[in-house]
Amino acid sequence: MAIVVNIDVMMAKRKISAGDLANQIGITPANLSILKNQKAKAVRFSTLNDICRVLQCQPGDILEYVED
Amino acid sequence: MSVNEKRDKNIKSVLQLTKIGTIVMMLFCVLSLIFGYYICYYTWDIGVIGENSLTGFGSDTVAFVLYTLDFYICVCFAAVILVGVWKLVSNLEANEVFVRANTKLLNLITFGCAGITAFCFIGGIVSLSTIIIGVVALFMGLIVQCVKVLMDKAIDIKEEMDLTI
Repeated sequence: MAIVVNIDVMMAKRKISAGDLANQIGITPANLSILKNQKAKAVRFSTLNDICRVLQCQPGDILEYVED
Repeated sequence: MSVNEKRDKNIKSVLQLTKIGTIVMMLFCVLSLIFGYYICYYTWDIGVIGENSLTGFGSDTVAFVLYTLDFYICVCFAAVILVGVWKLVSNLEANEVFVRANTKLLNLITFGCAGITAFCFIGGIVSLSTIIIGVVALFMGLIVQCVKVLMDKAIDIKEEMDLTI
């Protein structure tokens, strides 16, 4: 997949656990795991908005385009 | 009773009816395997079958043996279809609708239909009337295959939805 989700990097920078993040965003830990493991096929703007709000970052900090 | 409850009840009763129908058909299959020879003998004897032979086999013994063999093979394929239907209905009852296992079962049912079609057409050598059964099985197989393709597409959409966070 060309789009890489760097949410774990941001989580490490903000020193927040997966459980806490999932709780604050309002998604299940299972869904956060799908996002972390690059298995997600799409991310809703509302979810992205919540992630950026909680992690205090920009969408570009979480999503990265990588050439295949 | 709400609309959803009514719909659930309706689905449940349809699935139960299908299961009962499958059991009855299974019973017919078993009886056909046990009394297959007699069924063939009497249907052959009354002249419904065997008079419209393509090759002029008529009521020849070889034609009768071919007809009986064809009957037994078709019953086996029918049993395969019934097993597929039974497993499919069980999955639907367990609320497992859009899963890959169901498309495999639909493939199995199509295989059964294709088998019946092929052997009924072969049986047409000795009796034209078996071709009618073959055509019916062919139509059924085509419909099941269309449903299988639809199911595949639905599963793809569901998987994409499940992986949308």
